[in-house]
Amino acid sequence: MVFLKRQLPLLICFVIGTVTALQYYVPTNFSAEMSEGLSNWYIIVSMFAALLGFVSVGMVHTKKIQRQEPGWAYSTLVILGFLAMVIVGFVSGGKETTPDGRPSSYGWLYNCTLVPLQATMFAILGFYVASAAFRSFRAKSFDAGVLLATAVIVLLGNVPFTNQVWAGWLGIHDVAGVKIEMTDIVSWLIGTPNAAARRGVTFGVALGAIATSLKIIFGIERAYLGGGD
Amino acid sequence: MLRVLWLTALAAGIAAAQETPSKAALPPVEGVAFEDVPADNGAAIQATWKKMPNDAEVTYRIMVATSENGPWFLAAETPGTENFSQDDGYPFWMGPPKNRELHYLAVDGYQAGEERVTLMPPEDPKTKTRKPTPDYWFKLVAESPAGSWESPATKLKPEWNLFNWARLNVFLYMLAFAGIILAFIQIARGRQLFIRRIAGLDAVDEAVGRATEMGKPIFYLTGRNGITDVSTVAATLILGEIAKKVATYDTTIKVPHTDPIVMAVCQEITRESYIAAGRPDSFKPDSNFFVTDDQFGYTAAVDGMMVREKPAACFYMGYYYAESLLLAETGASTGAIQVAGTDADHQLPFFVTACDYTLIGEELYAAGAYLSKEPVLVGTLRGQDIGKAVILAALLVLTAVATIGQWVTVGGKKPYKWSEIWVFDFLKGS
Repeated sequence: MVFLKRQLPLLICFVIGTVTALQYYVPTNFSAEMSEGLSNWYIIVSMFAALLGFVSVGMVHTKKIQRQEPGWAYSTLVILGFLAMVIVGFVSGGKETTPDGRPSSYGWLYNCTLVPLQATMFAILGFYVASAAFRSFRAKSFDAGVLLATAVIVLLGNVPFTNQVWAGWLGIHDVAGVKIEMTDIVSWLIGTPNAAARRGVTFGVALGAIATSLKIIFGIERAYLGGGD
Repeated sequence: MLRVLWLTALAAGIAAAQETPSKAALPPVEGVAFEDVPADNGAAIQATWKKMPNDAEVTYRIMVATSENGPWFLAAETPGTENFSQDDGYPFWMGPPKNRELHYLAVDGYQAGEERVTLMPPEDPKTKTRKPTPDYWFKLVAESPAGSWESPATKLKPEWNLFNWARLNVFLYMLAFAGIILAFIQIARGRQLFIRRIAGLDAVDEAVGRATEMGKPIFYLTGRNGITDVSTVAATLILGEIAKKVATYDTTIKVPHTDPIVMAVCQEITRESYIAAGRPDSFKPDSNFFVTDDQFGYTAAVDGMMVREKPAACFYMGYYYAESLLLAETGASTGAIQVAGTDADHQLPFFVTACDYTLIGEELYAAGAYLSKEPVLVGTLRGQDIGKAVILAALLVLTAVATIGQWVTVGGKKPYKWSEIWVFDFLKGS
């Protein structure tokens, strides 16, 4: 049992991890086909795992309804919505349009309920950005002050009116012989200090990802196996 | 009879005179070479030849045939002013010398009438096999208004290669970095290594303690990506450590998932943590549950749970997209203490804004080792730091060299021009 629960998964992980890492350096067709095959296997396993997801959703919400826990009415909606989508999907043959080009019941449910709901959630982001910006732009410290100043410049630099004020009314066209527009300042802020910080993060992330991968491939990090001995 | 023979000879002479090319032959093109493309899957060959004085008027054609006597098909053509070896796409340690004195063309197929034929036979979709690659004959034809010239035919078969030498630098980095990591793991077994404090991870105890005092649940999110993403793996490892503390304090943890495989892995990790904390009976299998794989469906569901259950603490670990702020702002509005950790650099500002603590980039990967304090895992962190120090040193040196090279001129050239630094070429790779 120990072999099946611990050693075999570690062995599979080591072999697949090493082979996949080396595959990047081997340009043969076999290497590319093997990589594609492994990706296909992952997709197949994911499809089976989707069943786990469905079972989980069903069990969690059925329990809530049975126990009449707070918010159980929402669980009823989840189950009803799930069943409605499955039944209508079967009736429509899984197609979004009918042979004459009109939306099927399934297509209508998808395009007229799910898509608008998704769009609504995404649209809320605009309000959240405003509220988050309001909180973070309070200049309580030097760092927050720098953030505020930078954000104000970037925001104003993206507004046509500000550019009109900068170049048209204030007449600021060149500084020490160099032509500078408001958009140039914004571009510099985004392209130089901002890009430098992001690249620093990217270096760290890349090294961290490699270190984590090595720990897993060599069996140093085993927590993801769970399951005990 | 003699008259007939004479007339026949005269007619043959006129015909021969008409068939003789009116163009003079061009001077021979020098240095013509056909070779297998190095470090490929056997799909192509490459041709090189020296630049000629009259290149501006010449069109070069690579012709290919499956037998020495033809028929010959056009594989590639280029004007004499284009396609030089300096643009061959190989790093400096591969391929022909990089300059504008040598023409370079790679060929992976030819045009046979309407059909494009690849040098490597196509895969049979039924048997998933390929026929063996045949031998080919190649020749270079130079044509200009002044005349033409063609090279002798060269027999060549494209061969596959076992190692992609263009990625040698990446391979060496990988070996070096792996060596450093493994060396520090070994060192860490012998002595304790220092790790700098990470405020976001020190706050885990505070967050779990707060949840225990308030009798409210902890929400732990593992991000939007699947288990193939390293940041998701890192998030599952952190979950293990947090779940141990949750089990010790007998608090409730809820882990809504957007990927069923991650859910299955996290269920096992959580169970293991409860066992390790000595409270296997407190483990609830449905603490990890699947919501939906739809981005905004998941966000709406988790936001709804947050608003209804008012969690004491929210953890956002892993990779996030547009839902990051929707989740973190909702969590902030419920008054929860929030800790985020992501390597999604686009989402970092949102988490920094809306959360109390944020693990930036690599700190996410360091969190598992930091929380567990296992010497072997801590060793990997020191290895990462050494890797970063090497990159930083290389950046500083090369930036200084490139900057100096803008002013220093030797023999009329800037020897340290950015694109000509071979060390930089090696570092950036192909």
